[in-house]
Amino acid sequence: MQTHVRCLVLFSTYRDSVWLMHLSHTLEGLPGVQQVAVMMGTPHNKAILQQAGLLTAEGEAGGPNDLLICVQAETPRVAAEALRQATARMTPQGQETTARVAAPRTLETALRRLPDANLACISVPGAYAVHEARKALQHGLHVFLFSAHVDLAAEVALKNLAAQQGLLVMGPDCGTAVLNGVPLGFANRLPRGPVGLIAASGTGLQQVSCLLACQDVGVSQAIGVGGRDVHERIGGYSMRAALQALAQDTDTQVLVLIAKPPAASVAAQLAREAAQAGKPCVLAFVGDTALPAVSEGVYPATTLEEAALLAGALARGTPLPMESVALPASGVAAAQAARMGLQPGQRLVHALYCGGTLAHEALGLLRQALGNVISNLDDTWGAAPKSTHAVLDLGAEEFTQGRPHPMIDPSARRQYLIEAAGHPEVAVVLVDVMLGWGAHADPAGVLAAAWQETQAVAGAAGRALVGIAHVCGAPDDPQGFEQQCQILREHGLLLADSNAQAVRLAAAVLGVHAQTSPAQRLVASITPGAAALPQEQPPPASLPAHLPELLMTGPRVVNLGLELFATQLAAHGAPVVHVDWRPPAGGDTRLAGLLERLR
Amino acid sequence: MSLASPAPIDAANEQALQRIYAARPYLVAVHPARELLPQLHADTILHAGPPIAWEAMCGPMQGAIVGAIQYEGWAADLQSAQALVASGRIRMQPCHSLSAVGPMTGVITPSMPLMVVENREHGNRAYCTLNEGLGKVLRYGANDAGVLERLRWLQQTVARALHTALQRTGGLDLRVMMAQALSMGDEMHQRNVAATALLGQALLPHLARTVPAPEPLGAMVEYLTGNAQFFLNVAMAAAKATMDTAVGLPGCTLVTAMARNGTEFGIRLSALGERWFTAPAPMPQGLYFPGFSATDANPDMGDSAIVETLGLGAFAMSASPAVAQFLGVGGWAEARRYTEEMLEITAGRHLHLLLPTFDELGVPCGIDVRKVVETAIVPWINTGIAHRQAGIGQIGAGVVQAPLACFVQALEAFATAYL
Amino acid sequence: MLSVQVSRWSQAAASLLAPQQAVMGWVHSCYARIINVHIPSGRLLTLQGEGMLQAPLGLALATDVAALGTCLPVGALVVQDMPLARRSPAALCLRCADALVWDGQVVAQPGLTPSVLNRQAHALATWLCSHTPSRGLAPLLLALEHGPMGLSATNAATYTALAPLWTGRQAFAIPTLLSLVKALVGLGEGLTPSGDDFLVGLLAVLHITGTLPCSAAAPVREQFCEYVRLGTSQLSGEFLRCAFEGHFAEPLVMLMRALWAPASDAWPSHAATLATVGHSSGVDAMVGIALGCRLLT
Repeated sequence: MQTHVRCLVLFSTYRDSVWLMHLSHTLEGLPGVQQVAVMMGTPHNKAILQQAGLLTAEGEAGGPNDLLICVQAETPRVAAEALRQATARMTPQGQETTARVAAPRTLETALRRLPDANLACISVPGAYAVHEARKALQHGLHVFLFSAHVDLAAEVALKNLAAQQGLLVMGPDCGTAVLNGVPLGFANRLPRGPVGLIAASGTGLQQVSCLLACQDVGVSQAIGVGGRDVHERIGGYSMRAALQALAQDTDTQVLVLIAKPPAASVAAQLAREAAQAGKPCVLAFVGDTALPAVSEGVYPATTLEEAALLAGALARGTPLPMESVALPASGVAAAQAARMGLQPGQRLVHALYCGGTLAHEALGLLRQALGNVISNLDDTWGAAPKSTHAVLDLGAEEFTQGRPHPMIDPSARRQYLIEAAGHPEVAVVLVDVMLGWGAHADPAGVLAAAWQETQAVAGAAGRALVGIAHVCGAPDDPQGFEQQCQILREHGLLLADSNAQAVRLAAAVLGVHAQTSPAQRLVASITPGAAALPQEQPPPASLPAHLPELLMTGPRVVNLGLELFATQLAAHGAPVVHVDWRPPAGGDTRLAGLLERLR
Repeated sequence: MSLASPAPIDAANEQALQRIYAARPYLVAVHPARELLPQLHADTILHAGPPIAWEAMCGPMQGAIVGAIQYEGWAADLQSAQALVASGRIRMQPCHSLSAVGPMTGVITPSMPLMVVENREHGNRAYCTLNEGLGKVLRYGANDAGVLERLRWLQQTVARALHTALQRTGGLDLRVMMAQALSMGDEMHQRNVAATALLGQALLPHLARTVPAPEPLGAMVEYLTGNAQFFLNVAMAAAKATMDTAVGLPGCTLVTAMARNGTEFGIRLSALGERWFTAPAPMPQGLYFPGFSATDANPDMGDSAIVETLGLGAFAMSASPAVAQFLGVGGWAEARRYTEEMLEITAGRHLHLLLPTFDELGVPCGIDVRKVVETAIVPWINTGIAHRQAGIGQIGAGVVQAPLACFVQALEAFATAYL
Repeated sequence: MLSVQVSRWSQAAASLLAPQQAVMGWVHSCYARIINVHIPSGRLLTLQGEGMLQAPLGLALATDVAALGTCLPVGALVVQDMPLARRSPAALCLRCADALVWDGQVVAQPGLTPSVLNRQAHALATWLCSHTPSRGLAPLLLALEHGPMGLSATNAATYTALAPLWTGRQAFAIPTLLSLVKALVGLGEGLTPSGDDFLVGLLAVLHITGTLPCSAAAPVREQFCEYVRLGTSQLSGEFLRCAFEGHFAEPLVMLMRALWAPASDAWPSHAATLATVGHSSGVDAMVGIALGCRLLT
């Protein structure tokens, strides 16, 4: 292959080492660039550059106080472009920052800058989140409430206020939504299409929408409603309001409702209203073994994978999958091969998950297949010695005190991987890799590095671990779905297409055949009418007056909390104002209370 | 799209804002204080800031009081003046209590000439002293023979000439003048050079026709044009005449005055009338003239913060990048940030005092004490820095932040009264 | 003219400035949150914001140094605050009168036997291998035992320079130091090349063991300075010159004092702090400390 080398000498120029490193990495990443060196032009460094074939006559002219940027590329044009980019970065950044306008400090000031805002995206700490959400509703804004730690009574009050104002509250503890193609929170880059999703679960929404995207089936709207929306006292208010909206939405042909199993009354209410929607509706109560009796046009699913398959088939008009989903032959073969490499004592599965609902689903499926599985998701996780299968939700509160969520900082998982490697009975490690907006830029890379260490530790003790991962991502996600999968494969991890399949693979490695059966669904969907419904029914949720406008024109956002949400909205071209939020009255709760009464 | 109905507080604040925007201050006359303020008793001295006892006063303030006593002839020299005030026979009260304002020590005695500003929209009046100029002056606590002589010159010569010229003009529209000055780089607190020039321009034809001889005319013009800060006192009186229309409106949470006496910083809240809410005066941050440093500085002082209360001064910093550099604040972008930050705590924007560098939008107007407490953003004030020893004078310039404690106290008092 | 208060500076920096001298120097370079000032005698002072002094000749200013740097052109005059300076056309005036002085000199500590040195060096090397195994020169720690497979070009060159010393196990002497300096100065990536940072760490060990007293012989100093002058940048050279005299940046001094303190188990947090300095400067200095100890014993 041809190589062309160019050197740029910047005389008497100093930049700190971190800056130099960044420049180096950036230039290396340019297409067609083969090698980059960014160094001070000291005699020893020039000798090394000479040996590496990176020093030209121009570069020779540099001295110890000069910065040398040397690029080896496929063509002279690529080399020149790389140097041009390097020069561009040298110009002082000072002017940029002074041109930026200071962010507003309050919701009110933000509204002066974006008077037609229709949504507040709130990710400030729980106690304050309620206050800000209430203010937003009073100003006529829908609310996307990412914050957790909001108590039940407050959620009831907020959703009542929203009902009065004709607005929708998505949350609290709502991680994901995609409204009119615009991502809120942790969301994936999904194609547009006929499926409308409503979920009381962030990662559940992500898994189903990504599986649909991998089938080339697009999404019209993906509405998160918050993990507790289907609680008895809330009665699924937001889910039912969203259902009304999507029932009327002309771009939506198929509906999917996703939640962890709700209270019986709420489940029945949802099933009834789903039937009245007039469009086929998949009911995915993840981990439910006892399905509600349902009527024509409503399709229960027990796993997220099944929900995606059903919705995909309904969207395309193809026959519904009738058999349970099994491992493909390649998967069976891979599992056999992996099984060969295990030592006699290795018999346990440890699952280390970032996604809460995915962990929940895995727990249920593993219990069906393997029996006793402990987890921090219920109170089976004690100080007991871990000589059992285990499922860890690393995004749970006890693991994220003072640390970023593992979706943002995947390095948190490393220590648990190493621990698993040191445990003589662990055979299989199950992990999820979350892609999309808001997630880490290279989670597969971080996992691969940690996996190498893990195998090294196990290897030192004469063992090998079987790693099974599924990448929850859409083909167009910013991290590059294919590349992320490739990295994992190259580092010896087995890849599954979905969470459910990952569990099946894990069971197969342990020599157990796992099956998720759609049999009950088949029977249930034929039964006409609804039997055994409770007598008391809350009135049907009416469609919030301002919701159709939000779905049709997309969100115009005031962002309070994590700045990365505002950045991703701006990158997407959505109108957004970020608020430099501080706790009211500097955190003094007495004064804050006074202010509340003087509003 | 606000769907909630306006609360009674918001309605009261809106009413106050309308009065502030509608005010039309005119500079109309110059008279001795005793003729303008009948309540000013023969043994009373007015001072800047909230009420304060003699013992608690800072060096410059005490120096000014002692000088003023001699100026009035109540004592013959320094020692007897000090004895007089220490004996308690002199009454001291804030300028604000009698519709007046004074810069720095802000001392006013019955014989001193005061400029009269009349708010022709509302009919109320406000008063301020004539600016003494630079060097050793009473407002920085100097009190030697030279200071007193200059004060007498102001009383006997300047006041009369200025008054006569003003009568001929029929009164000068200060709102228009300040709006023009804003577009010429003034913010009316630390930079008044354009406004002073505009005032001089308006008065010169009349002075030329009323002052009898070339020498006195020359001295008079030199006085007016040689002091770039002459307009500060005029701006203060105009701001006072404007803000006084918002005093005592039930349920209104806007700040009607901010003032300092070199020891304490005080504010007044519309709904709570003349009550002061005070906290220790902060130290300014800024640049010092060569040879001086922060250890020499006096705590913040003067009634000139009335200018910020209206929305000028630091609130209008984006009109005045030159001031920003002089105060050590930075360049144009930093100057704009001050104005933007003040927009977070004000209820409105003035309709007539516009910022040319800010899309011609009005200066932030109407400090809402609720917003101050909620955001913990306090008003910025542009200020000169005085030496803490009486009489040395100005040693620098900078910015100071009003203490949050004043606003917290005012909010709590309001809540007690209204909830 | 901008006037800024110096809140804290190192003893070494303070001793370079005569109290009556109005002219402090000229701005040499600005980057990130650092402004370097060139003083008349040729040394470089480093102006920074509040916090640990990141250079041996460091001055911590009570101001936003990043913002200050954007309005100070290279070559701008910097003065000390005094009457004479008032009329100068200086861009920056520094008020040093009330600045707190920090003593960053590493002096010989009694009681450092070879076994103590070895033990702590081993502990430090272990820490580096588990916390920063792939940064800067850290791969050398294993390579020197197991061989130079997979080292980067600059690390390979450093390995070549160190390996003979390793295997030979010669007693360490001044000539050895000088030949190491000649081989390593200016070698590597970073604003302060890795080789320079390694040498700084090594010099810290030489000072604390008394092997290189602060008042080393003039010919040795001259040769050292000559190698440094020809081999690396002024900025990095300043760190080396100060290191030769026993002056170091605060994070390194904190680690040195903690490593050999009697109750010596608090040092890992200082190591962690030092590891955050630069991209690999702190790590390279620690490699220099760890290997320096082993070279001496």
